Amino acid sequence: MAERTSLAEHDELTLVELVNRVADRGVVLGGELTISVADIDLLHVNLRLLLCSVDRLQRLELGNGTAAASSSVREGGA
Amino acid sequence: MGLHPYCIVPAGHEPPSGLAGLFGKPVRPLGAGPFLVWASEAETPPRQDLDSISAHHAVVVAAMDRTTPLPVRFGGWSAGDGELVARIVDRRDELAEALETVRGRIEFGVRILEADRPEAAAPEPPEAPYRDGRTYLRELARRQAVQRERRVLQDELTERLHRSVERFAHDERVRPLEAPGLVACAHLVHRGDEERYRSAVRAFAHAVGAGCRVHVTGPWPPYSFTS
Repeated sequence: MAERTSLAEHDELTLVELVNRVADRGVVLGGELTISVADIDLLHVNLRLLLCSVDRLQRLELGNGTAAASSSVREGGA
Repeated sequence: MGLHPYCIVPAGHEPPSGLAGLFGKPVRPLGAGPFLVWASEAETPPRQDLDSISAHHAVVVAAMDRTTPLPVRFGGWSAGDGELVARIVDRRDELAEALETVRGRIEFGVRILEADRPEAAAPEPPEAPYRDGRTYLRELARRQAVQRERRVLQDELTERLHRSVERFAHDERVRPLEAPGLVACAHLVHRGDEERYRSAVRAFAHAVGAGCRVHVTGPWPPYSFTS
């Protein structure tokens, strides 16, 4: 059981590493990035929620009454 | 038609035929000075979701089979061939130097996390209703002490990991993480040294013991060593 948990965590961290690299590093060739992903490290506990779409986080933050939802996502990983 | 760029490679490294990128569009090479840039058509900049990020990464990984590319950060959309090529040619010296740095090398990531502790799982109360100023200051001092201890631990782990892998890591990037993370490192490793590098990280993980969890990911294209 412990091993399965560890593998699941490793898969999640691999996704965090993937998103951090692709969206936050590499040669910058113009274009506009719509959202900073610097907070993704704070979020790995809630990774599945976030990584459905980074865009979804933006919508959460912009929507009504979502300050609490957004805050709980951040603190969940903190 | 707009273009979504994936990576920059030395001239002569064409994408494999049939390679598809975002939206299933074929990846084609554009000549840009001494380089090729692999790109596919995209009417608009793609949404930054996991499917698009994965599709972008898959093309860069395909390039890794042929050479070591410079990955382009997701979001570098250009309105057309001329604009994309000009952006690359304008920076040809800097990009040539970066390609030389990553040639024959691959990236690994090491992420060090705190071991599970019940108190670490509980989030700090946002604004506790302190009874008086003395309680508030005591709590403030406690939090500052915790932060100082974390910084000391982060520095120590970074140094120990550095010493463990320095024989195999040509270059290194280090980032402190928020709890429950501690430190994230990226290492640029010679192709062929992968197993020796992994063994060195395993030895490091064993040496730091049960207080931390150490995860290695990779090999990655050299995203962290390209800017």
